[in-house]
Parts: sequence; C-alpha cells; structure tokens
Amino acid sequence: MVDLSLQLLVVGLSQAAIYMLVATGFALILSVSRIFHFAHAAVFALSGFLAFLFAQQAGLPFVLAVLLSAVLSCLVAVVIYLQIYTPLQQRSGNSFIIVLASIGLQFAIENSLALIWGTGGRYLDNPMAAATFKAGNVFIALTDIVAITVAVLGTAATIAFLNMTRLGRAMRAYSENPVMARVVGIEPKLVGAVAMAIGTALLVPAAVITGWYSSLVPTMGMGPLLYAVAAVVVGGIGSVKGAALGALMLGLLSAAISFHFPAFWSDAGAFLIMMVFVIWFPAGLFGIRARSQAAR
Amino acid sequence: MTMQPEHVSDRTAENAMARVSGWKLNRLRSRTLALTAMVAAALSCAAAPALAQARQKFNFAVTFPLTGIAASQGETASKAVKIALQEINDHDYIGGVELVPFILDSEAKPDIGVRALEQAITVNGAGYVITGYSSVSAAQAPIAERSRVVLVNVGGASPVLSNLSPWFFNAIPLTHLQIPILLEEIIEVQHKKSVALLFRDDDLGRGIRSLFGASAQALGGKLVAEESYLPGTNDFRRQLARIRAGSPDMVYIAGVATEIGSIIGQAASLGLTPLWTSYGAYNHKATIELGKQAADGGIYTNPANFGANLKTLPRYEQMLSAWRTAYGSTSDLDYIAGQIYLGVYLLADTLKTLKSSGKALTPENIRDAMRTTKYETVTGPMTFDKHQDALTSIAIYRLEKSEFKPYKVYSSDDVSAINARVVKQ
Repeated sequence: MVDLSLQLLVVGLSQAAIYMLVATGFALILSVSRIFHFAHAAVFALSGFLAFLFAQQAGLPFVLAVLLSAVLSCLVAVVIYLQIYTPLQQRSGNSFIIVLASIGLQFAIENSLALIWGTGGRYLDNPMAAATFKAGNVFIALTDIVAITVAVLGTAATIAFLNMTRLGRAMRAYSENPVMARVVGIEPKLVGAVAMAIGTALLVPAAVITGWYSSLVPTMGMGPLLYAVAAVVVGGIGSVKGAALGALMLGLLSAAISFHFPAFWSDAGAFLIMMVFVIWFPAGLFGIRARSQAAR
Repeated sequence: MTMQPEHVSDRTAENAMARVSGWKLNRLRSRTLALTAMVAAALSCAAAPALAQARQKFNFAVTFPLTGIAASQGETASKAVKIALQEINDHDYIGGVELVPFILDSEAKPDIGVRALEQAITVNGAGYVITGYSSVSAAQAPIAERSRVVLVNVGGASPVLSNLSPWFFNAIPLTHLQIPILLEEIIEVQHKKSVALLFRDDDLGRGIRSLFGASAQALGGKLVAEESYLPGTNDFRRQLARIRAGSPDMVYIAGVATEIGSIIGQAASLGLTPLWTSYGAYNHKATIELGKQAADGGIYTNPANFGANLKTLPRYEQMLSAWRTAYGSTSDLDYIAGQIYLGVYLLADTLKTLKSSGKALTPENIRDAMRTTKYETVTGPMTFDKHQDALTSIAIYRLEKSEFKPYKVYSSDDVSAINARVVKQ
C-alpha cells in the first residue's frame, strides 16, 4: 500500500506539473489582459505540433526544435492579442465578445492543425523514454523529473519576473489597477503582449511532455485547459502564485482519491472537492482582486 | 424496365421532384434556359434505351471515422472499398450489377454516426450500410431497423451488439466469442493465472467487463485488478499504478486502437510490464510507435486471415495482392482493411445469390439471404447464427519485433466448443 501511495504521488506530481505550466500562463494572461484566453488550448496543441514539425519532420536537434516552437507559438499568441483581442477590447470592451472571438480562434487553429497534420495523432519521440529510476518499488521516469523541474522553474521564474523586474512590476500594477497604471504611463498593449508571450512560452514544455506521454492531436489542449481554469479559480483569480498552487492541489488530490477509489473517479472527486472549497472561499487561495473588492 | 432496386428508384424520383420544385421556386424566366431544358429533356429520352442496357446500380454506404482520433482507420477503410470495388465492378462479379459506394464520416462518435447513416439512407439511397465501432453501431441499429436497411458491423466487437435488431448483422466475431479463446491460451496454456482488465468506459469496454472476470474464473484464473477510463483520456497512469499494485501476469486492454500504444508506453514508465493482451485494436501502428519494445510480445485475438497451418486464406491472399498492386505495399494494411473488404464482398455475394435465384435486390431479400448463406471470406467460411453474429475462425496474433503475426488459429467449431465450455463452467 505504501508503494501504491508513493507511486500515485509521483504520478500526481507529474500530472500537476503539466497543469501548473498551463494554469500559470493562463492566470497571467487573465490577470494582466483581462481576457479569458480560450484559444490557449489551441496554442497548446500548436506548440506541440510545431515541435513535431521541427524535431521530426525537419530533423532539427530537439532543443532547437523546442526553441523554434516556443518562438513561433509566442509570435502567434502576440499577433492574436494585438490584432484580434485589442481591437475588440477598444471597440466594444465587452468581455463576452472577446470570449466568443477566442472560442472561434480555438476552432480555427484546431481545424488548421487537423488540415495540416490530420486528426489521427502524431507521435513525438521521447529521447528519455527508456530512462526510469527505481526507488524501492516506486518508479520515477526521467520524463517525470523533467516535467516537475520545468514546471517549478517556469513558475518560479514567472513569479520572480513579476516581482523583480520593472516590466513585471508594471504588469502587476496594471493587473491590480489599470486606470492608475495608465496614468503613470504603463502601456496596456505592451504589458498584455508580454503576458501573452510568457503565458505561451510556459505552454510549450507542457505540450511536448504531453506529446511524449500520449500523442499529438489537435484537441489535446482542452483537457489541460479545463484543469488550468479550475486551478485559477481555486488559486484565486488574479494570482499567478495561486494558480500554480491550485494546479498542484488538483494533481495531488486526484492522486489521493485514486489511492482509495478506482482512478476513474479521481478527476470527478477532485473537481467536487474543489467546488466545495470555492463555495467556502470564493476568493480562492490568493484572490487579490476579489479580496480587495470585498474589503472595500 | 427499371434496373434499380425499388427503394433506390423511389428516392431517385423524389429527388427529381424536389429538383423540379427548386426550379419552380427559382422562377426561370429566360427563354434560353427553357430551351436548354427542353434540349436536355430530349437528349435524356434519346439516351434512355442505352441506359437501360447499362448495368443495374446498387447504392451502399460505409460509415467510418474520416476525421477525429480514429481518422486513420477511415483512410484504410476507403482504400479497402476501392480495391474491393475494382474487383467486383471491373470484372462484373455480380453479373449485371454495379456497386456504388458512399463513404461517410462517423468520427467514431454515435451521434455523428447516426447522422451519417441517415444521410446514407435518405440522400444516397443506400440499401446496405457497412459500419464499425461498438457505440456507433449500437446507436445506428434502431435507425437501420426503422428505415428497413441492412446494417453490417465489421469493426465493433462489444458483446452488447449481439442480437440488436433483425436488420443488424455482426460480420466480426464479438468479444464474448474472442475473450474465452484468449483466456484459455493465457490461463490454461501459458499458466498465467492472475489477470487484470483496463477498459474504456463505453459500450465496448462495459461489454467486455461484463464477461471478462467470469470467463477468467471459469478457466481457473483470477481477476486481480479492474480499472476504467473515460473516452478522451490520454494519461492513464493513475489507473496503471493501481493495476500494478495487483501484480497481474496479464493485462487486457479494452480500448480503441490509438490508446493502446499510449497505455503500454505509460505503463512501462511505471515499471508495469505484464503480458499485454487485447482484441484487434492492438493491431495498429500506434501500438508499435508509442508502446515501443514494451508492446512486443503482446497478443490479441482477431478474425483469422489464415488457415490452421497459418497459411494465408485464398481470398485474403487475393486482397493482399490487389492492395500491393494498387498502393505499392501492404505496410498500411490492418485488420480493419480486411473487415471492410469482407463487408463489401458480403454484399456482392448476397446480390449474386439473389440474382441467380431471380429475386429482387431489395434490403429485405438481402437480409433474408444473409441469414442462410454460407460465405467464403477473408476470414474463412462465415455464417450468421440466430443472433446474426458471425461464426468464423479466430486467430491469436502476436506482436513480434514490430510485426503482427498469427500463431494459433481456431476454426468456428473450436470457437463454439471453447465458448460452450466457459458458459457451462
């Protein structure tokens, strides 16, 4: 039983790593640009397919392929922000219209991926597939270690960037009070575009790791996005740190439920517990905006 | 004299009427257009005797995934239809009847499959439809019955498909016939007693679950773990960690083809390396590409394309040769291709029988003939039992060095005997 619990802990952490990368990026975009970036899921798939294109179809070295995928994906996300979201925000300011546009983009990108690479699934070679460590009766794949390390470093780097750089602080200032931020000269387009770029860059390793574990399909981003949204709500809308913590909780909670019940019920159970949590703590763990509004 | 089956002729007339109504609505005013229409009508009348001498056309459809997670199978299915029709139509196999195919997308989803079937019947005038996937077939069966069209499942293997409707046939041995064969080999021959099941929570998976444990027990085995997952899942590691805790000698995967490789690859990362088993879904390139070495040695059951001596059956050999000629190699030929080819030939053979006995080529007559005809197929002799399930030979195949190879063949009599023993115990 100890073996099972430890093995499930490893699996839970590995899954939480993926959720964490997606949720951190999603939370950053949501808090800075105030856009429910539904197409984040499609960009997730796009980055996976671009890595496949460069690494396997073009035969480039793996690291270079991932870097190119990251650059192109970020470029696509920034273009989406500047050419679609920003004009819509300026024209109507209605967040519902922007969500609709984002859903439309989601389908457009997914269908484009299907047209180019088909829907049958592409297989991304994992150079670390055979590397597995054994501690007692618990197996830890090198891929898991990489996933967890990248997630922790990616999240930590994002938080450090937001706290320790001038641009990061400007993004936080704009997130907390856009009107005042404009008054002091913070350029909304710039902070929004940077948020999109960082949020997308975090997606790339998550998409590659998902591709290693299963296959690349145009709809592969929807599952992680669902977890990311749940993590953002639990962590507190407006908090990048909270989203990361929410994702970790979600992964570990699912693993803990799998210890006692068939794994089929783990996601449903985890989401149910999270729902109850949100009822009791509507601002989430670190809900800056909600808490400050409540205090006023 | 019309050469069309009745249901096709009626619909053709309806379609023509609809077209005429459409023209009326468009209010053709131009004299030129009217004149063109008159000339076209005159030409049609002149051409009528020539058409009467042409071969009778029979419309049929295939509803298979052309998009979605299993799109690759639809592509293979289309290729199989093409080569079957080249043989049938080009050589006038039926004798005065030409088969006209309509290949429609089911996305391997029940609702889309139902829509595709409705289109096949109402728009394309199909009197015989080939389908696959358990959930899709189960959803389509009532539509086929209501429309009085023959629906033939060649790919879905769930036991829930047995005895669904008088208009529904299973041209693949369902898993309730295949699983006892596999379990006998594992438990009694290979002496691997502790078995586990990982199933997809759909009609196929639930159907297999309903008999897997009891069949294993009847043969002296023990079910040590049982886990399930939702369609669309791509991370199976929680389920696999729990299965590993049961230390099974063998794990049966009741999922779709594109999932099996992921499952085996993820299991290897958790140190779970039992004997992997499944049904025909194991025979897919994803099993090799994602499962890698861990998938090697895995065994599965499927309709046999081989005789007891493991020699390729004549009709399957014919198909291999045609495939090679048409597509250059047989590397992309999987069991689905054979099953689709079989489904087209079931229709051709049935129509040939009806023609020779002077009966009309109606869906009713096709259905009745299928109940009594003994077919020679790519899986050997095939008949349909009282539930309209195929009785044919089944083989156990093994993945060896990235090649799917048969290693044991059971005739339909062997299959019946082993199943009777399991039921009795």
